[in-house]
Amino acid sequence: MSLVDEKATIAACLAGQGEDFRLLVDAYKSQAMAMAMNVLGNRQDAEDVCQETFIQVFRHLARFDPARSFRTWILTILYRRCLDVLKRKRRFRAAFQRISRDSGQRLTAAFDPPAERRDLARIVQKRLSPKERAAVSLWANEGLTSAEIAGIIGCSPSTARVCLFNARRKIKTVLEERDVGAR
Amino acid sequence: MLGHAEVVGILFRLVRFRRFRDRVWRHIDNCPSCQARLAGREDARRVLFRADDAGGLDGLWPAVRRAISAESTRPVPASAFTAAPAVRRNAWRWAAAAGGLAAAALLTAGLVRTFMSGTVRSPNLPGANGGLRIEYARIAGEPAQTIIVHEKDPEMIIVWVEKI
Repeated sequence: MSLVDEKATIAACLAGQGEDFRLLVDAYKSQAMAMAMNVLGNRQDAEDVCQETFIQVFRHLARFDPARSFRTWILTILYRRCLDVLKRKRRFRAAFQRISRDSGQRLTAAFDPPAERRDLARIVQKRLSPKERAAVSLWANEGLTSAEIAGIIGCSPSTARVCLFNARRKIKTVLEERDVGAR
Repeated sequence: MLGHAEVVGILFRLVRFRRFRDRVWRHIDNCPSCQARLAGREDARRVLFRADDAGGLDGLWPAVRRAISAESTRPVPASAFTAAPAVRRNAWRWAAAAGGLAAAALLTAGLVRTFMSGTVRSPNLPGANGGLRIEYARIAGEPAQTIIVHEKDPEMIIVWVEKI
């Protein structure tokens, strides 16, 4: 979606054409889902977070500053939601898992990367902190700079750079271990 | 033996001075040996979930639509996010402060009362007029045995009434 279309769609939503919000959801849902998956590592949680994020974006659309990037705004809200889920999970791990299992309705069955990447992603989930996962996901998938990443994960550009550095180092180690294991 | 990249990494983690770190960053950005120890964008994408994994996500819009149409057909106006939250935040602060003050006042009053009652001698207290006199004591309308115990403390008399 071009910048002009994006602004026009936001204006239309603010004017009461809620159906136009679908265009924004369609434009950003895949990026949002990928980032949520990278931070949370669980499809159910990622879907819930995406859904909640878009609802929150719609509710607070009037608060959006047009001088900022809409994508950055969505990803900022999404990252905070992901952290909320992780915090909640730490507190009520058992109860949360039960609830997750019980709420069976899936948004899609199509989020399915190749098996090898899924296994590597699982290892990376364990070794990287949520902040590092978010930083590297934004860097590699979205092509953002340290300063832009800092705006989303809520830290200084220097801290974002350190997060990214550590994440890249750990990923390199994972890939090297995998290569050694394959030989 | 530590390699060049490991030494840089250790120095980077140990030394927190900003100027030093900036120099290390510049070095890392330009040193092929250091870059070789870090995953590149393509390497990282090999271990991350990507947007093209997400498929259709067809159920997302209906779910979002249900939620937003249940509330309203348009987003909350901007004015709702400027004045109101500040007012609400302040109201909460005032309420919390008022509650705290009320609790402090009650506590102070309780403490003052306790200490005052311990120091001011009431004329009705037994120690004040030299003794305690009980005409009779009854339990359920029947006369009862009364035992008066006078402790060493001049302000304390225990009256024990027992059914006969």
